[in-house]
Amino acid sequence: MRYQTLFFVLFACFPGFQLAMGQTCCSGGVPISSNLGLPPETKNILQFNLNYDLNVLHTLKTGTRELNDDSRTRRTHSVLIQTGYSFTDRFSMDALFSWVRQERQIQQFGNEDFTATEGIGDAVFLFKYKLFSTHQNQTVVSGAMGVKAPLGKSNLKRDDGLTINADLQPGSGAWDIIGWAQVLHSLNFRPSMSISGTVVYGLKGKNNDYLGGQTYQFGNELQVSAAIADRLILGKNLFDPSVTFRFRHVRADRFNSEQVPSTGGTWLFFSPGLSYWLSPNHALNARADLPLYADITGTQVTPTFRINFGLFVKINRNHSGAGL
Amino acid sequence: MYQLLSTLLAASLFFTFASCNDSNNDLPTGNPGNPNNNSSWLIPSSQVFDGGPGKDGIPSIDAPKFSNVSEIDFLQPADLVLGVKVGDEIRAYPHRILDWHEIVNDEVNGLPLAITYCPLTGTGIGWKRDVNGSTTTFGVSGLLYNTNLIPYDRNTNSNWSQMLLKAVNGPLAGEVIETYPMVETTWQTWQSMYPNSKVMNTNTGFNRDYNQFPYGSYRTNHDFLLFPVDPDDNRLPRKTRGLGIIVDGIAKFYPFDKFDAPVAVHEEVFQGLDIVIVGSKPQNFMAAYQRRLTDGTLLEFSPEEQTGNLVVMKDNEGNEWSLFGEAVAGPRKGTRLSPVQSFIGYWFSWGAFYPGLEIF
Repeated sequence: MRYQTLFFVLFACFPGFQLAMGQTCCSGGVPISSNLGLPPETKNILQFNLNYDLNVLHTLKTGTRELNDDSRTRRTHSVLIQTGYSFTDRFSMDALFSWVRQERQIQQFGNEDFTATEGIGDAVFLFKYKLFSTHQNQTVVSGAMGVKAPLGKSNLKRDDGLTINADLQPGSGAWDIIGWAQVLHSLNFRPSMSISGTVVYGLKGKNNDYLGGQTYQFGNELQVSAAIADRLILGKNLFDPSVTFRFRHVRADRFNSEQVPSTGGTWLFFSPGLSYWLSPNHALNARADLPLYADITGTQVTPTFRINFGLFVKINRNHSGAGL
Repeated sequence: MYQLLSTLLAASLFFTFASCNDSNNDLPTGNPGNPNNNSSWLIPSSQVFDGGPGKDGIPSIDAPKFSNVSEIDFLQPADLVLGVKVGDEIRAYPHRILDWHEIVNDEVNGLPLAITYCPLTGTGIGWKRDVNGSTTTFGVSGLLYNTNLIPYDRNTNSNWSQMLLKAVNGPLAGEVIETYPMVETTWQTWQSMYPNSKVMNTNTGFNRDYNQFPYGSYRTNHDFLLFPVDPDDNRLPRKTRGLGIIVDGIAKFYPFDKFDAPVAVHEEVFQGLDIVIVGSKPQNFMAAYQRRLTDGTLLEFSPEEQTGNLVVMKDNEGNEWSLFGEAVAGPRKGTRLSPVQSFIGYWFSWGAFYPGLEIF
């Protein structure tokens, strides 16, 4: 109960909020929202995730129709450091920090134009609570609330001093509210196999210092994922293959409260993943995002693929001598 | 546990500190959209923004294809077109295509022209492509000044301001562009006036949905700008369309609402120049010409009120004049009136580029 109270107090008192309705994130927001939420653990477990994420947008679409034009490419390279600690069997906190490099490449008329920005990206602080769990955690229902803090710069300029638009900035310049919920269930007939469902909602705040005092607001974002994972033993090696279907809906951005054309849309991704356990507490992860369906607003360069590699480390502080 | 909390807090502070420290190192890696990499601008660079698509991200049309008026089936009666007449060659360029490409590098009856159109300011201007002694093509730089198109020329990579009509950055900075008069009207009016003209078709070499306007409610929503403008003159609603004229660097704006007649003609002396404005809100056209001919004759004009007619005004000598300012009948048949530097656009853009300009 003490921690339940702490959970709500921390959330309610987090400073600097701009409670604004709104949505999408720049392509830098995709890696952050797609990497949220470390596995539920018991008391005194510390977890780390170090990930490299590459999000490539190279497909030009209008609505659901793909246009025959591959002249534009957007790449977002992200390095994500996520750490989480379980204060009790129920209450934990995740923090995710990012470094982002945004690239824009245009190959047209035999010429190439390349623009890039890089820097510290936004950070997420998530306060998680295990709402429900059955014996031996066969079924776990967790919920979380948190914020995305605008640690990243949103006013970077080009070499010639000209301000770059919001989508190419490493940060959003706005505080967002994030809601997260997950149901995880281990199957009776095969306890090593689990199914899970995750919902992430980002209520986007406003950047009131965009282009010298203008207001920019990315569109609110909903992600719903359904996953199945298993553990395979091959010789002395442990592998966790997984398959995830991820639905993502993003509302249009707003500039000075007016809807920005050609922003927002709906996507469905297929995400195969594989973890290799180096030891009971160390794993290497790899995952890909492949779009199965996209219905975008207006005409946009839309995701072609995303890949993610990472190292996962778990430290059990209940045991003496535990550590890296 | 407190050690771990401290670790989390320290990590948070480190990232925050690193982020703040970055303020002295504001510049990202990579090059800007323009390889001339010249940061010297003749306009306030703080008002020049990277629009997002990047250089050539909005591709110009360099090999336009044309069809006869009767063969065009993708235009609606109210759709706007830009028209040009060079000698006997008459061509129209639909906004539906220009919205997606902004620049058409064309050659009309041997004259190299760039049809430049900015959908955010609603301004379409014909630029001669012979610049500084050589023929060039223009591309879309991806930059905007006062939310107006900044074309670049491919010979020197200089950046030009469409509405200021001059190079504002790069080797040709300060060079003034020579314009060629164009008219703007609806497809319905154009069809009746010039049924034998050629019309740029959708065979552009690019795959775009020309049935879709890329900027949503932008054309009619007065509150909706995609980039800031300065000054933001509120004497008229922002998206009020009208004709602006420029004489010796001084501009004046004529809203369509003041020409709410089948055809209206207005004569005045502006900056010492005798001019005539012919316009029609119902038929959606406006144009400005000099009343004085090269032989010194000062003509007096009156409107031709029959709509859809090639003739839009008559004069005191019995000549009949087309929208292109050409005498199509009468004793001076074949004569063209000298144009006044003018183009149609949204009010807010005229207010931003020519602060304090007079409104008719």
